[in-house]
Amino acid sequence: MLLKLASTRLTAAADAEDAVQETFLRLVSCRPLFRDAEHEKAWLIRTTLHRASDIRRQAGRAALPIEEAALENEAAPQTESDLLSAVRALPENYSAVIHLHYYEGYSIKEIAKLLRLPAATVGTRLSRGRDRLRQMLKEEA
Amino acid sequence: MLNKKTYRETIDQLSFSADFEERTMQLLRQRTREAEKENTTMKFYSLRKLAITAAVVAALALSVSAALYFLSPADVADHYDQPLLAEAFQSEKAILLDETVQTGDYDVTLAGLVSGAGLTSWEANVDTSHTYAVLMVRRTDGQSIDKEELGITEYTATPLVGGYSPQAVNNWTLGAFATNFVQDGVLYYLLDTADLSIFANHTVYFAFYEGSAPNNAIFQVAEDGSIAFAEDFDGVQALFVLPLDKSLADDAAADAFVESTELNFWSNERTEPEGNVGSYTFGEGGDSASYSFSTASGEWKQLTPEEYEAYIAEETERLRAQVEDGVLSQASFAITVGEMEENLAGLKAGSLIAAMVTAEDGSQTVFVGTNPDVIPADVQYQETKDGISMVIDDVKD
Repeated sequence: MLLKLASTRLTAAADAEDAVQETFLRLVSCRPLFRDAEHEKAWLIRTTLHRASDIRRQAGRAALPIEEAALENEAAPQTESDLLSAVRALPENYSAVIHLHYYEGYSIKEIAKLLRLPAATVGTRLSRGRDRLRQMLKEEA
Repeated sequence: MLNKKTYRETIDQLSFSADFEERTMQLLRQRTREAEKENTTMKFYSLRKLAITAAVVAALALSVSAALYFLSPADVADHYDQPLLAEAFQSEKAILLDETVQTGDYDVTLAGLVSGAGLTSWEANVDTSHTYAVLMVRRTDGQSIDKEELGITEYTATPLVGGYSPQAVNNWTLGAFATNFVQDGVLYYLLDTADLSIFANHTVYFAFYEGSAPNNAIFQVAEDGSIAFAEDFDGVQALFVLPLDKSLADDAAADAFVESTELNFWSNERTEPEGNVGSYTFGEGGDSASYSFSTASGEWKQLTPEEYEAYIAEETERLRAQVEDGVLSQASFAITVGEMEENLAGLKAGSLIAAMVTAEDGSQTVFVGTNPDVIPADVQYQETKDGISMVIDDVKD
């Protein structure tokens, strides 16, 4: 679940794996005081999203030498679907709710609880995220 | 076409390392073992400084020519061969406290701290400002301290910030790095942590105690956000308040940092946690059962832009109170208010619709979605036996 969630923000599988590993390292290091398993699950989801965003920002700042960049491009999958590219191009607030709803099957209220947002905000993000996705996919076509 | 089936098929094409779960569990076990064994330096959570451990260990072998009864913070920096840090400890920017707390068989003294960028050779990013603190511990009976008796993994010296959960701001979340040595019978700690100045509008504590990451068996948080040791915590303990320069405070950065930790929650009540890292399965999708949401049975009423505007005013006040109570961060408040204002613009333009649902228990929730008259068949509100459903999936373009 967490790997796929991280992949909505990160292109490389290795980066998504790093995000999830760091999340679990934080879990075992900090040993947070969770109320229950649901609380812990919500924390894992939010922390994975944060770590994925951090990695994405760091990658954006790091300037790779030309040779390394070329190698990375060769290693990257060439067949990534337009839909996945579009999801990754969405603002992060939108892609998270899109994924949690469409892939994990959470309802708006459940997502609101997981992400600590008002349900109305989640509904709006879901609706707008869909609109943007459709626009992007139409432009691609 | 965008629907659940298409989306799931796309995501299911993603592949990850076959040994990811095994590697991760191995890493977690290794980290636990390291924490138990490491007795010279300790890294708190972050991976990025592991490479410098060897350099610091090597520095420990250096001898110090100045044999004073107590080393100054600058001397401690010199001990680690860090002339820039030593210079900073002697500058006007340094805060020299020399405050001592007697606890158990020990006198714990917070000697001083200083903040700045590029002060140590082990920090790769010279633009990132850090706070360095020197703490010393000596036995009250005058005997020499044994380094092993205050092992760096059994005792913690960490900053904490009033108004935020002790879980959210501490060595583990600040990416801190601690090292210690004994000289002339006195144990010296050097702690390197993210710059604490941004928290200067809060009460910033420096705690030394027997134990590891902060929890409610060690600390209690009062209603006003102040932090103290739990009354029944009987381990070695010392708590100092840092006189930071309030002009350097950055409330937005502090809030953003705390929010990023996802750990700003706390309960003084001790309960057995139910969560267990071992119960999670990596790499598999969760169950999928619901593609719409239903409110509880109740009255559904579409709102005019004017009514939504009035709702924004009420909601903004409610959220502002949550910010003041520390329940909601300033950043989340700003985002939510901004989104409501965007919604209002959408309502006025006719691209969105808003509905208020009053549930049987009297609670009211406002939902905003795409106006189905504008974008065909995208969002549909349907009356069901359970109330109102907003169908937002399986739509064919």
